[in-house]
Amino acid sequence: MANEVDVPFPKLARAEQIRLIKQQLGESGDLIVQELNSGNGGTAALVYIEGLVDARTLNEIADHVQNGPLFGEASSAVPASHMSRPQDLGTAVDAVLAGFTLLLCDEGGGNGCIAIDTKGGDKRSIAEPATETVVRGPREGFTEAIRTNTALVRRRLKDSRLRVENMQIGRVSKTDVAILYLQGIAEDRVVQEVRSRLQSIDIDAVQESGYIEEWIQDRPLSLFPTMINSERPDVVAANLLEGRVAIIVDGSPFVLVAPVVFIQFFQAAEDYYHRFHYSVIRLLRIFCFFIALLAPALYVALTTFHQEAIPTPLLISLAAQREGIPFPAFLEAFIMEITFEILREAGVRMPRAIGQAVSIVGALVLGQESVEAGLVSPAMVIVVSITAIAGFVVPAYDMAISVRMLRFVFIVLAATFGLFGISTGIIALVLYLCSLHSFGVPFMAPFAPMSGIEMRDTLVRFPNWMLRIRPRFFSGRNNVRVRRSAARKP
Amino acid sequence: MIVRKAVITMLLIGLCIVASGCWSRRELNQLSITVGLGIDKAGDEFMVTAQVVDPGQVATKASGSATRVPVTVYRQTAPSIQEALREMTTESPRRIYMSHLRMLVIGEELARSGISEALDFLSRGHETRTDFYVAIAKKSRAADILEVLTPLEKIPASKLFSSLEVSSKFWAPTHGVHLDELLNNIADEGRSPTLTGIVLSGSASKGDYVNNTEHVKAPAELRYVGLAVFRKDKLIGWLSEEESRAYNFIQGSINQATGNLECEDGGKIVIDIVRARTRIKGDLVNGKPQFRIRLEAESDIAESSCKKDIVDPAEIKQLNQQINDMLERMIHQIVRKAQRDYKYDFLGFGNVFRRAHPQEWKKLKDDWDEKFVTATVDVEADCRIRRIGTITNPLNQQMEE
Repeated sequence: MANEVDVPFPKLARAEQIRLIKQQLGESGDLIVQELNSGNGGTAALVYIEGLVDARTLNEIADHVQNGPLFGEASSAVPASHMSRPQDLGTAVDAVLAGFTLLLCDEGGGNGCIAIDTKGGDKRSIAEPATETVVRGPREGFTEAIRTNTALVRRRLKDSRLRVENMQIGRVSKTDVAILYLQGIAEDRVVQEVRSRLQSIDIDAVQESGYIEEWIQDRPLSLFPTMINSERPDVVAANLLEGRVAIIVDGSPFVLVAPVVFIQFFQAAEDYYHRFHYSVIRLLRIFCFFIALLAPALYVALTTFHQEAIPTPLLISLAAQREGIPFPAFLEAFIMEITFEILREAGVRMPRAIGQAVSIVGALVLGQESVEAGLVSPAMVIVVSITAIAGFVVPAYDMAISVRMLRFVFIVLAATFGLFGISTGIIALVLYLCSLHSFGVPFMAPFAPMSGIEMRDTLVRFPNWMLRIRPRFFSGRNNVRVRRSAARKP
Repeated sequence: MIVRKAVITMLLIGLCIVASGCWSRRELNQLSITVGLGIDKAGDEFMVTAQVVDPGQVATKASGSATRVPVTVYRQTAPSIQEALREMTTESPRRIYMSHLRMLVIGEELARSGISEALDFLSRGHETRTDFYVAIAKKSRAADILEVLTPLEKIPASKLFSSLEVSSKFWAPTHGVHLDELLNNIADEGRSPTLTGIVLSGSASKGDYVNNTEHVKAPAELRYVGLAVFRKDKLIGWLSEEESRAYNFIQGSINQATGNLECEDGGKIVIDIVRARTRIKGDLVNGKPQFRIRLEAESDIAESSCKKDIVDPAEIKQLNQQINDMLERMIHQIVRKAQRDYKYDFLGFGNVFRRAHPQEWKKLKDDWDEKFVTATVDVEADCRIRRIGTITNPLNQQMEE
């Protein structure tokens, strides 16, 4: 770096330039230096990292440099999209690491250094998103390349008001992060908040959007997620239209959207593509949320403290099942839930080859054999199974994770204080949810604070022509979606 | 600061959970689910019988083991019911749990000497609900009633419960009384309760074997008979089937009832009353109470073996008149019985009078019984036959050609 003070990098001798770059990158095996003869008789060198550059563009550049007419300025003849002239070693090396090709050639009578954008290399192609499949709807999913992702969103919102702001986060990873929003629809305050929170992140690497989510969420220790992530461009585009801000992170197909409210975790993309009657299923999802949270706790509370609340034939049946079970109901619930969590984790991690074996073992452990061995009662197995299945109905996986953790808290409360404990737990939960904010928006809007017209897309989705305004808590001013004259009468 | 507060809060909550140790937790297999309770008089003490479910035997789809029965009975004698129930734990491996009680059976002897003491325990206890039926064991002990196994329904107390519920609706002489209704009837001025009686027919000694349910016709059976009349909380007599029916008509607790009318030519017509409403008006006329009972009912023709042409509206009118006469006769009969034989107003007219004329009631209530004996009662029945069934004239008529 001592050279920088007296001689700027582009003006150094070619060999010196190359030596400095190699030194900076520690003689990396994938750094390629290609020496060429330039068209006007001089020499040039292409410096790039193999694997990060697109071979075709590279060849075209090499071709041009070698054969094209160069009238002193090599840069004029190079057919590439983005070019820059790094003035110091650091910038030049950063450019090479980002997939640019350094063209070291004669320029202006001396040496020069041009960085040409040749970003390429192997990328995953656009495929159906693994986590959010639909029956009806587009099957495009985000990939890991940020430019592909922004393009996917742009294709859906071909409006000049769609802004894309770039920044780099992460000292070592130097990950490209883009903020997307619709100027005039998203509130400036929110955009500024997102921007400032992103800028304040100081971390060495950002591998996935989850890192960023943890850094910028309102409450660092929040039990519930306050931002949604999606692999689908149509979901992100729809959210942008309601005035939210999207954060795309290079290297992750999951795009963050903020601010969000609680009910959004129960909205699936399909609700909007099918006829509006289908959205009644949302009620089922909310119901399953409660089942997944409370079912084992209710079972423990009722059979341990409140037997008078159970109808007599059911009580006799349950009592019959519990004959000979050595554990109290609470312990039974706990063991079964833990076993199911073990199975679930194993299912996620296992290699495909032994998948079959694990599922058989799982069925045995969790089901018939535990009952026959007299370790658990059949009713408990049913409760745990229903709880588990109900947990999968919630569309947002992050929310399902929170529910799983809370379920255990409720079981403990139920086993200690019965229904009183459960009600206290629910009150505490509601208080907590109402106190959460997501970038300034109350988390339980439009329920608390209540706003009638904005509830048309919460529990069920009203027909499209009835969703006339955008939710005011996201987009303050510009909130007309459907002009009154265009509204259909049923 | 906030972290410290959070930690202290967590510790306190944790302490609550650990120290309270799942306070007052009761596992299902620590409870003896008592479905039937029988109370008898044993000298000065109470003999309490508890019919407890054996869940394993009830819930199994297969017949379980042939030598185990679905219920067990514990019996204890003690100066009070609470003591008796607690003493049962010396015999029972689990605590007697009363919340799911279905049936309370009181022995006749105890009923004659007063049931209010027994009822106080049941209404005061927090575990006992008020939705179980109360019945009197006629000419036997409650303990014997509760030891009989029943076909069709594995738990005998459930059978008694269902049977009373269904027969209250379809068979006029019985009336199912819940505990809260019973307590109200005892406490109300001018009224007294009546309870249905249970009779053990057949050979009692065979009743408590599984054999009882292994026959097509069980040797020992429990059945409901007429009503028992009380003077406040003491049993004073039994009503016959006809009288019980009349009583229920007066009270308005008829849901459906059946009766038959004789025809001139020897056949009979059976009618089914499907809706009935009773209105009683009480007045004071010349110092004597006067009551007007108006009974409105609708009925169907259930059977006909008469030569009458029941399609003819004139005939129907005549039949209506016959029914009305029959009902009026029935009610007069029971009023006479109350006035002459019992000399006690167990029909609840005092209560009717009290509601209509509370000021006069205050003056009369002390010697209401004498006043009641002199009361005049007018009965007006208005029963209409609405439907005659899916065929018109009876088979008899069509046979004659």
